[in-house]
Amino acid sequence: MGGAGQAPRRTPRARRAPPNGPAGFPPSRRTPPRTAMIRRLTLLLALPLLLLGCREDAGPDPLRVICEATFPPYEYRAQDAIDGIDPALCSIFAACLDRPLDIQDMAFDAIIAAVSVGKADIAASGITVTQERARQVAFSDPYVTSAQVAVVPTRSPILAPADLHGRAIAVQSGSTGDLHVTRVITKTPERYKTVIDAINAVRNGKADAAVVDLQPAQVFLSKNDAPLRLLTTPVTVENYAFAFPKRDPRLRAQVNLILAKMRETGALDRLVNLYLAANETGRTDPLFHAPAIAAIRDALANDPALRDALQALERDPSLDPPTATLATLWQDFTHALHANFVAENRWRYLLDGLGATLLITALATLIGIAIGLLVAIVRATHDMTGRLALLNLLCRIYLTVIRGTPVVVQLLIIYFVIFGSQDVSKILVAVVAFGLNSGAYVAEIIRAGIASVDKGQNEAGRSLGLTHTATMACVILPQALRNTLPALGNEFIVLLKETSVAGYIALTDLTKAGDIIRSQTYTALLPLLAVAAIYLAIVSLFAALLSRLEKRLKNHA
Amino acid sequence: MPEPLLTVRALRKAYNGRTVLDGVDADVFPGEALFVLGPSGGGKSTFLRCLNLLERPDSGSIAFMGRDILAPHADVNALRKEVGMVFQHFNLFPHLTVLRNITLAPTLTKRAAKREAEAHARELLARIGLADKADAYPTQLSGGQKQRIAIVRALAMRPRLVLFDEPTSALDPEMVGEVLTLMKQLAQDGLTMIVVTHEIAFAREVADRILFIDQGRVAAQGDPTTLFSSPPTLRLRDFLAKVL
Repeated sequence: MGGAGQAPRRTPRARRAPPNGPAGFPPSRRTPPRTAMIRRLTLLLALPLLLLGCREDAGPDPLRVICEATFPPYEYRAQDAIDGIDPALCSIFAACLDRPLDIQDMAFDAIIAAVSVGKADIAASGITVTQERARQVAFSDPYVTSAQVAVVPTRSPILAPADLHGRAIAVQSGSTGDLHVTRVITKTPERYKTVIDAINAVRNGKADAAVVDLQPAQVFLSKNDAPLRLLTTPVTVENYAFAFPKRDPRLRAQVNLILAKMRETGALDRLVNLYLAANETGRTDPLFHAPAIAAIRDALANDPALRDALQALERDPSLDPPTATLATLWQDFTHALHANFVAENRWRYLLDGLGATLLITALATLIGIAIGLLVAIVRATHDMTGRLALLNLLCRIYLTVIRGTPVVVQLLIIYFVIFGSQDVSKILVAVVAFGLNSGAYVAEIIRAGIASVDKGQNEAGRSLGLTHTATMACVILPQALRNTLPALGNEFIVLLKETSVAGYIALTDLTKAGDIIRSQTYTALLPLLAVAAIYLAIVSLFAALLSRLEKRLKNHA
Repeated sequence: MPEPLLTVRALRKAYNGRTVLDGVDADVFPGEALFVLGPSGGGKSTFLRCLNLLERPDSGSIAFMGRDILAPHADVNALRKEVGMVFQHFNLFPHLTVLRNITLAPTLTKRAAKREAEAHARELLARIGLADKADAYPTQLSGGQKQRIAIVRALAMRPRLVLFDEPTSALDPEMVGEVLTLMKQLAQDGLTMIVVTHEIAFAREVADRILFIDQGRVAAQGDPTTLFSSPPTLRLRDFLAKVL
């Protein structure tokens, strides 16, 4: 890994080789990724068109870069723009290649999959080189060496990485910290969307330690006066590199060439240090370092030798995209199946996730029906008799708030605010949140059901001397519930699918299980298809049961 | 003269400023079959629905067995246990069997224990010849059967007074007879009833007394023979000429 960028100043100098073999040189492999095969298939079909030459008229294609911009100093938002080490390097690549630059922000656990199917030309997001990732994408030579470190409360009994076993550990979903912890420390870390969320989980007592990248952790600690500290020994040391679609060896070769030149001239170290200093002093406004970056960029873009070498690579026929055959396509597919569901028992994620999804849905449905029934009765009683004015007002506020805000926001508020300081099970939080949410919709469904019962039914009940409550319970509600059964069944189906946002509180439901597999194998299609198929199967099964029940009730009426 | 079971004085009711009852006075005596006749929209049904407070009158007084039922804290449910009602559209409970339709109110109001209520219900069903329908659901019955069961449902509470609100208006003509036969039987057995109907011939045959309500007022009243042979007012004469 000689020539890799300077490690930041406070990094422990534990520069042992990462566990995955020589940095920057993905292990050789015969099977291209499953997703790349679709690309190649379309390419095959489009080949005659390309040969006719229809690209001539447009200007140079933009260099499409993706990153997850909450990872300072590598990438972050400053003054409404995405800035950082990676965006700056990519701007240099774009300048040297005479291509415009297009940087997009994307969730970290989707980045590898996205670049592997060619949704971007470069993934530049402080990505650690690992074997799994190297199966899906091609890596550049590493440009920096960094470490995964543990963030713990100041008074934590955890003193060394070995103490992490048996603890509740927060990670960023799909990060190398996640992969390392999952493989070596615990199968079930709490997976958060961002490094900041993971560290905050430790700060709020929801986890004992967060295993995250060194520099973002340092930036967090320097900016926040939190009772947290870093363990001095890193949990693991690793190399960062850019990722490319496998079928674009040309761009990778060109980037490697530019990186080599920057190492040779010391420009790489200068650039990295500029950003480290900017983030540690809080002077992140791009104005402060833009001139220095521009100087580095212009020097490289105007270097005639570098330009000639890049031009030579542009014309090199050995760097043309490879072509596919049916046999390799089939092989890709079976390998992808194996990697996504069989290897490392990954199907268990789906099974466990399905269990959580069903449990949450079932319990939330019960709570929803209980709340819905109560609210509907209060509202209908108020409509019929004018009593319960205060309760009716409360119910209307509840309905307005719940139906007027997204369920994800309600879930996060309940998790971080209402249960913020208590250590409660995430399943319970999800059940409460989805139950409260569903209750509002069930209430309106049942209220409509009550309104659909003929007025004469209420009059008949009351004329016999029954109280309002008895009439409601024995005459109106049984008929109302039967009328609303299809709508209630539909609400259950909606709820089942809505629980898919439970992953926001690091709860492994079915959708999150697919995300985890995706973040480990870096294939987008198969895990998503499997998750979709499971939801579809459950919904179909439930819809069939519901229609049978409806038929039976109809025969009774 | 016995004490009246029900005394109504100066009853007034308006909907959205339109006067429907404009000072109705009436007395109902125990064992009496009082028939309320009159043109449509004259206030007959509203009058009847005021008597068990399905409608709340704007002013006036109603005394049932000497108690003022319009008093602020009068027990409406207690009143309704004593005053049954039969509706034009039967209003049977479609989700319950015939037997449960009949026993629901007696058991829920603690009028009778479950077994007692069921025995009473079966006895009443046998009397109207529908004992075999005890376990049927209302949708499986004809209109005439439904209305007869609705009458039995009211009787199961052992009421002192039954209000009939156009009980045959929603029936096919061939079903009317069986319902009228049952009502005539009940009248002969001494049930106190107030009947709003358009069946003039039936009223003439069964009524002890007739109340002719027109434009929210009692326009004429008396025993059927006198009233029908020599109508005291022009309006009544016109009405009878049209319907007879």
